[in-house]
Formats: sequence, C-alpha cells, structure tokens
Amino acid sequence: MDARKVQAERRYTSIRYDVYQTVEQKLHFLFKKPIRLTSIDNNALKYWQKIWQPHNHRYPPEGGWDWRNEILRQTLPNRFEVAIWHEEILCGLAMGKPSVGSSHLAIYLMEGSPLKHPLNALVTRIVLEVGMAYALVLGKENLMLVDPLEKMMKVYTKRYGFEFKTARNNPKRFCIIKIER
Amino acid sequence: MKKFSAIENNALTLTEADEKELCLSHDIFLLARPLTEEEERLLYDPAKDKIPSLAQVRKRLERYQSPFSKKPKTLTDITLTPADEHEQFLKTLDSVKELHLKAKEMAQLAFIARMEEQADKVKPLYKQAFDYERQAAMLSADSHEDEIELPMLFKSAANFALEAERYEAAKEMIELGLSSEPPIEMTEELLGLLDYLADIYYEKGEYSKAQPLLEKALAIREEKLEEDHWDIPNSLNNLGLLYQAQGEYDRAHPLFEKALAIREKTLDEEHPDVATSLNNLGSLYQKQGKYDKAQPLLEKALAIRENSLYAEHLDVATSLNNLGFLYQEQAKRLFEKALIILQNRLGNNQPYVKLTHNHLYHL
Repeated sequence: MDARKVQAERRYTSIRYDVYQTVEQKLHFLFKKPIRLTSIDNNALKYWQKIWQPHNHRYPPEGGWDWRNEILRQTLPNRFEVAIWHEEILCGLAMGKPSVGSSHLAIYLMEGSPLKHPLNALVTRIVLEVGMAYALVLGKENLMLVDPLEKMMKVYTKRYGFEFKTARNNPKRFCIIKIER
Repeated sequence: MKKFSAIENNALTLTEADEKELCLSHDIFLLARPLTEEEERLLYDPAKDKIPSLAQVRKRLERYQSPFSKKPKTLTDITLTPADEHEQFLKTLDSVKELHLKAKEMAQLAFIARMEEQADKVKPLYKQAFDYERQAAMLSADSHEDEIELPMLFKSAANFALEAERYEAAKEMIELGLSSEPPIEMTEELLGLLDYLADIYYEKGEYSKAQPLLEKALAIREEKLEEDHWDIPNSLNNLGLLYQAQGEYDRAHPLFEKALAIREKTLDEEHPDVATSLNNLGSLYQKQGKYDKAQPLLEKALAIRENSLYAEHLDVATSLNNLGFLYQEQAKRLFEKALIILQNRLGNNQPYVKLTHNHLYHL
C-alpha cells in the first residue's frame, strides 16, 4: 500500500478516536448513560455477526446490510465510521465519507440493533452528533444524509432541523444541514 | 463554478468534479460497486489531502457544541453586543433578570413554608412567584426573541402557577412556551407539564378541560418524536383512559392497541409498562362486555406484574382486582343462564332454583 495512505490511515484513525472521546463526554452529560463510541472494529463486527445477524430480518435500504463486507470495501482513510455501544451491547452502526473538497460529510449507512436495546430512539441522534463533530474537525460545511428512509424524514427535518433536497443525479434524495462553527 | 443540479438557496455548492465525486460515492456505498484504482484516486488522493493537524483537531473539537441540544442558558449568562440603540433593550433585560430573581426568591420561601408545614403560606407565595415570572416572560417575549431563554421562563412560570393551583394560568404559560419554538428537550418538559395539568383535571372529573390538553400533547409528540419514542405510548394511554372514562370506548380502543404495539416492539416482554398496556386494553374489553378478549390480556398482565414487580406492589393488587371482577361478571352471566333454564323446567319454588338464586344474589 502507498506509504502516504498508510500514514493517512493512522492520522484519521487518531482523529476519529478524538472525535469519539469528545462526543462520548457530551453524550454522558446529555443522557447519563454509559455510551461508548468506537470504530467498526473486530469486536463490533463479531457482535454484529453473532448477535444481530440471527435476528435481523431487515433488507436494504431499511437496514440489514452486510457490515463486514461494507467495512472491507471502505478503504478510504478519511471514511466516517462509528459503532455505538451501551456498555457491552452494540446498539448502532454507521458509515459515510467526507467530500474531497470542503462541501460536506455524507452518511450513507446507518442501522440500529434489530434487538431491543438500551439506546432505543437514540441511535440516530448519536450518529448525527458524531457526524457533526467529525465534519467540523475536517472543516466540512454540511452534513448530508443520503437516501433517507421515508419513515425517518420527519425525525430528520422536524426534530433535527435538516432540509430535504432532491437532485437529478445520484444521490437523488438527501437531507442536509449546515455545520455550526 | 457550476451549481449542483437541484440545490436551492445555496445549501450546497459544488463544482462539476465535486458533483462527479458525490455521484461516485453514492454508487459505491449504496449500489455496492467495486472500487477501481482510478475511482479510488478520485475519491481519495493522499497527495492532495490536507489532513488536519492534532492541534487543529483539538481546537475544533473544543468548539464543538451539540447543535441538537441547546440547553437553556442561565439568565446571568446572557451577553449582548453593547450598542447605543440597544440601551433600552439592555434595561429591559435587567428588568427580566430582576423579576426572575424575585420569582425564584418567592418560590424558595414557598418551599421553606411547605417544609415547615405552614400550608396557608405556600399557595400565596407561589402565586407571587408566578406573577413575577409571568411578567419576566412577557417582558422578554415583547422585547426580544431569545429562543432559548423564553421557553424556560414560560416553563418556570407554568410550574409556579401549578403549585399555586392557578390551572388556567398554567395552561396559558405552557401554550406560550410551546409556541415559542423551544428546543426538543424543552418541548418534552413543557409537554410533561401539559400531561400533569390534564391529570389534575382528569382527577377532578373535568374531562372536557383535560381532553384538548391530552390531544395536543399527543399531536405534538407524534409530530416531533420518533415513531416508537417511549413518550408516545404514555400519551396514547392517557388520552385512551380519558376517552374510556367518558364512555367513548371506540375512540379509546385504537389508542390502547397502538400503545401496546409500540411497547411490545421496544420493551422487554416482561416490562411492567407492557403489563400496563395489556391491562388497559383488557379493562376496555371488559367494559365493552367482550369478556373472551379481556381475559387473556388481564391474565397476561397479572403474570408479568407478578414476575417483574414485588408481590405486594399496588399494580399486582390492581391486576388481581381487575381479574377478580372479570371472573365475577362471567360467573354472574353463567348463573343467570342457569337460572333461566331451571325456572323454565322446575318453576320458582324448587330448592335447587332457590339455591341458584342465592348464588346470584351473593355475587
């Protein structure tokens, strides 16, 4: 692998770690719950395979992605990724990618545990917090949710203040919000 | 620079290269295409990437505030850009602060009076606290639009009004608070007060006053919260119970069913809230005379409560009571049916007929 890419991988891993730490502190303050944020590492993938998979009856785009496959395909060092834990229970996963320029960070995949879990109704909020912080650190101007589910539209627009947009090219549907600085 | 095809009001401005990259990212993530080397270079080129330094990262993270949770500032934190034209405005702000502090002082005195069991002083002191806080809120609303401070003042005034048992005034404050576009956490707190006020009216039997409050609370929650947020089944149950108390069983039924469905989806099978929902729906069927539908629900509610609560919990007693009442009504129907047959076959004076009469009488 290109040595510069290896170096970039190290730097972005460290940046994501700092983001997780900062957002974790905010979340502890807000929700008073033992929330942990990590990358989608082996622990997360093992949990996904052993605990989520047997109970997951969703199909994309409603969820049910093959997260092992997704994470293997995403080799870009600056990718957005987060695994959301409540103590040792994996409650949510999300992935995305920042733009090359300063325009946006796009979140493409987001899924809550198919099992009942202690962060019910909070996974979206947590993914958005991490997305906002990562976008801010990378100097991006907008946070984008690509191909939002119809049933979640109300939550994104009314609760979190996103704007829904459509375009002729892909992505044809997305929600967008400006990053506050 | 070409503007991205369908974006209005400058939400996002992209060059053609940006747009191509965005389109490619979308295909890779959502259409699961393999990435060619060329595409990888387009999406990430280490030579062009300006990775933020550690110092930049730390500095930017220090600035990070959750945009989804603007906690109310304390009044003493309010800072404004001083300018000549704002002199009057600053004076108003001082008045708001002063009124708020007086309200707090009165509320503290009311609290002390309650602790010292001086019941006659509690309500008048809360009334004074309410008057000051209301003035502060109205002054603040008239003079500027601080979206964070204003709902907090209305909420605080509503609290004092509730303590002073001035319910109409509390309602007015809650509604003003809700109309001031509060952040979601404050909305939830204001809706909690609305539920509390509706509960007071419900307990007093003033259903016509409770109903619009509960309907409004449910409508706002359904609009602003996730579909299966835990506050929604509470809201559905409260409104269902109110309809049931007014004999409007057909309106209560879908609400209880929806609340049960949400709780069964989001909570453990043995959660006491699931038992509450089963109990509500079972009791409704019982009131409608649908005993066959009521019985399994009430029995399941009892089983959950016996497993998840301690043996002498009041909810266990409620479940036992409800089920006992159901069995009693079922027994009554059976005795009545038996009596009709016996009277027809044996007449009224047979000892067996009298015994059955006796069973029915003692139920």
